[in-house]
Amino acid sequence: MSKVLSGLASLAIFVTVPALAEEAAHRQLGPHVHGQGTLDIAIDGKKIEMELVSPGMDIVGFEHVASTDDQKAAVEKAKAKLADVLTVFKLPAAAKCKAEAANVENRKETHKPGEKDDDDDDKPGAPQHSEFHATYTISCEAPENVTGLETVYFTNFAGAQLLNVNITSPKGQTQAQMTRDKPTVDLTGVM
Amino acid sequence: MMIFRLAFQSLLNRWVTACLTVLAIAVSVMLLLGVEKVRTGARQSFADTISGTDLIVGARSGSLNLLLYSVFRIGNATNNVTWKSYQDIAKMPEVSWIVPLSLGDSHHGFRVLGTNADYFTHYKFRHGQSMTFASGGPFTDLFDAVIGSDVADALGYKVGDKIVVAHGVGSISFVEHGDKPFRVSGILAKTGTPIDRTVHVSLEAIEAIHIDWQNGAPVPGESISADQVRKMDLTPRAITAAMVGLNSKLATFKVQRRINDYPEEPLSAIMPGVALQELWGLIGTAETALSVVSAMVVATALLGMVTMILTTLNERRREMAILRSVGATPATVLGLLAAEGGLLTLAGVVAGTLGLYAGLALLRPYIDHTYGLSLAIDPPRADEWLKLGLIVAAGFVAGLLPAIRAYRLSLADGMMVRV
Repeated sequence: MSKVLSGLASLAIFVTVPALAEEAAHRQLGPHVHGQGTLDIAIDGKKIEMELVSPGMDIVGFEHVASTDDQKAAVEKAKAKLADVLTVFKLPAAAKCKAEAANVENRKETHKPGEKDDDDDDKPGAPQHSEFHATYTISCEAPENVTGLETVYFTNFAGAQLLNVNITSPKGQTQAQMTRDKPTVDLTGVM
Repeated sequence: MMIFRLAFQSLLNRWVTACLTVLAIAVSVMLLLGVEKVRTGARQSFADTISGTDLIVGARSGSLNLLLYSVFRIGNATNNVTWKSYQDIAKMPEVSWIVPLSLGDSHHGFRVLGTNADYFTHYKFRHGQSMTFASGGPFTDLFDAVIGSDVADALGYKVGDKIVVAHGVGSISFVEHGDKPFRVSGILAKTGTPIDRTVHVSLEAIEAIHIDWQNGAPVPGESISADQVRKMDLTPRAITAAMVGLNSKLATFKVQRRINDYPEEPLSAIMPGVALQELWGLIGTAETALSVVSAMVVATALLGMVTMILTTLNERRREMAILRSVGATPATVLGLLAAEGGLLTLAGVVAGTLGLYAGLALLRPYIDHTYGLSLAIDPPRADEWLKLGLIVAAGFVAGLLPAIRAYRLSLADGMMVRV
């Protein structure tokens, strides 16, 4: 009997330990504001790296997993639009920039890329937040001519109202905002 | 042109009042432009408080809070950062350098900052300017301290003096680290940043002065002497924040995200330049208030000018009458007085602008040294030219007010001599 008990006890330990470990890992969620996205721009020499994070609401108008064909098509169309970086974020022609890489993902914000997704809130229609993450690598032949950036982001995506732009370059760091009324950002001081 | 010459001659005749009016306008223009200069200078100096640092890392909190306590030494940290996390960040391949910051003690109201010698080479201000030593040098011994220029000025310290660090951050402290005094090893040159008001000691020294303490108070009968402490392991368990420099700016956001998502400890990494801008956005409303005040001063000066012209109008009835009698039309009289207003304002604007630049050239070094405010001597910008033009135009328009009155009067008044 005692053997059975201790066996049960060890089983219980075996079962609870991973659960405890999971409890111990702290949970955190990033902010999520509809209408507001973030555009990070890092400039170093001839390279420009940009990262865009936008709520799904801004881009496609819903944040659940696309279930109907229409929704799936909307997500794919948005991804294609976002992938064409130099059309969405126009740099001055004199800078002779070309896109080297673009990667667009539609992520659930509770999960980091590559992380195992084992909860059941991604059933079609289940309430959740999702975000579009786009990363871009751009190289410019004449980076000194990158004096500003103009975007059609707001005309392309009806739900978007504001982009917080964080900029870092060897000249320093700065912050700006692009809005529906002012879809430009001045980069004269940072190049 | 004739009208302007007449107006000028007439003003010359009343040169004392005219000069005073010009002076009033000049002073108001100086104020208007000066406020603008101070405003841009203050913004620049503020943005230049820290440069060359890519990220500041601290316990999870808002970016402003972290910036305020790590750079401006205002307020306190929400939590400390463990030494293990600090080392993990230092080991990231993108990290070029990392400087620890440890706050919590004070000396006569000045904050004491525990750091290492790298701080003096990596902390940059004003477009990458490094700190320089006015006298002495960085710490060589465990109990060495480097003080900012304001600390040295306020407390009259020189290199070699002994100072005692107090526990906590109040200006009057009841608990002092009296058993382990520090020696001033260097005094930094004025920077115009919070460095001037800081006492810098080594991270190990911060650990050393607290080694025989428990729960923020010394343990009676368990004091460890300064000599004993030198032989002990003084690796800190925690720091308050850290400044991080990266190999490439391209990695900034990547590293920032990785630190923000660091699973072992809730940390925040902020971009100091961005946080400074956010902070300026908050306190920048004062800028608008300044501009409004200086605009009101200009309005007052113009009002003064109108009053001056109006009050002299009565004594100038003769002047007007003579002009009329030699064939000047009422319209000429109108033009004459409007020209007078315009001339006075123009003279005031020119004098004010020149006065401002003369003042700037003279006082710039003093302002820079005393207030750490670097004011640029550059020609007026487009919007400033516009403001000056508007003031002159306003002067003409203001001159119209007495002009219209004179126009009405000059039709008949003054032609006949009343006894």
